[in-house]
Amino acid sequence: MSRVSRRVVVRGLAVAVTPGLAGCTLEGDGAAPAQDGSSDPVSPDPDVALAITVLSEETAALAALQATRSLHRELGRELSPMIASHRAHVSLLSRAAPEGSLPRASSRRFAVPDNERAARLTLVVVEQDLGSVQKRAAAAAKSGAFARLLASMTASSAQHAALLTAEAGDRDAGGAA
Amino acid sequence: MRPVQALQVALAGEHAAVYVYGVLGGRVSTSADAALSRRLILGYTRHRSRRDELISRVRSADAVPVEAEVSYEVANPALTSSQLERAALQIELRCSALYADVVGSTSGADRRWAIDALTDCAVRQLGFGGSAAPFPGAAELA
Repeated sequence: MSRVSRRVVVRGLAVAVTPGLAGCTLEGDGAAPAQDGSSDPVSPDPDVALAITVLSEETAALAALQATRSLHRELGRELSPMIASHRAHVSLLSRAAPEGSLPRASSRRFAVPDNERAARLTLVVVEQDLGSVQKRAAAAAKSGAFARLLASMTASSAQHAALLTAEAGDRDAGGAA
Repeated sequence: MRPVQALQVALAGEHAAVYVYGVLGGRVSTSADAALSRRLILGYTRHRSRRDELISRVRSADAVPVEAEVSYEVANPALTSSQLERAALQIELRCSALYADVVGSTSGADRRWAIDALTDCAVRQLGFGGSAAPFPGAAELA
């Protein structure tokens, strides 16, 4: 598949929700063939719905990381790069979502555990849950380019979960020694 | 890129990965650096398994799997632990990009399998000194 910039990936989705332009997704640039060859001018591109779903989960994960960093300042260096990654994901996905469909950041409250290790392990679950949503969306995406983007986000969440798990384990082992 | 072409490119990458991991595994000291040795063996095993899986998937698409080259270039002299780690990291970075492309060029079971392969490569990078990235396998999106 040809490499496409994030601008092209997002523009492809944004264009697809415009009535009369549905079907102007990324199949034309060598991405995976559409699962449904029709181009119904009144149906929003199904990938936009996927983008909104993943965006909602990304926004919630970002809020969880930020809340944890606020309560556990000592985790700042560890969590800040992860927060930056999620911000990049949210920024990209936001451009694909139609006006008015963006999830509100305050729609869900996240309870941060007081214990540092418990806070890390809670974030592991957050990242794993997010990764599951991203993976399902990547598997279902009509556009190959968008699937590639979502798969990359899936891998990013898995990296975060692995780092948080390792750090929680290391600290635990260190404390027990 | 057609789905089978993407699988073939990934297979070529896995041929190289298996070769290089074999070289790296032969150079690490199992006594002096047991942890690195374990990670290299795990990497070798995983890539060999994926190479075989790709061969099977390419055959299922009625194509002839690409063959391995006689030898491949290792990214650095691969003499010290640090060099061994960096060489392994290079493999994982390259394979991440290949699997991201497979995801974008396939659908169904092949795509789901490639998502898992990309994720595994991305996590494995961390064990070889790699950092978490916003877009593993698709750095141009950052």
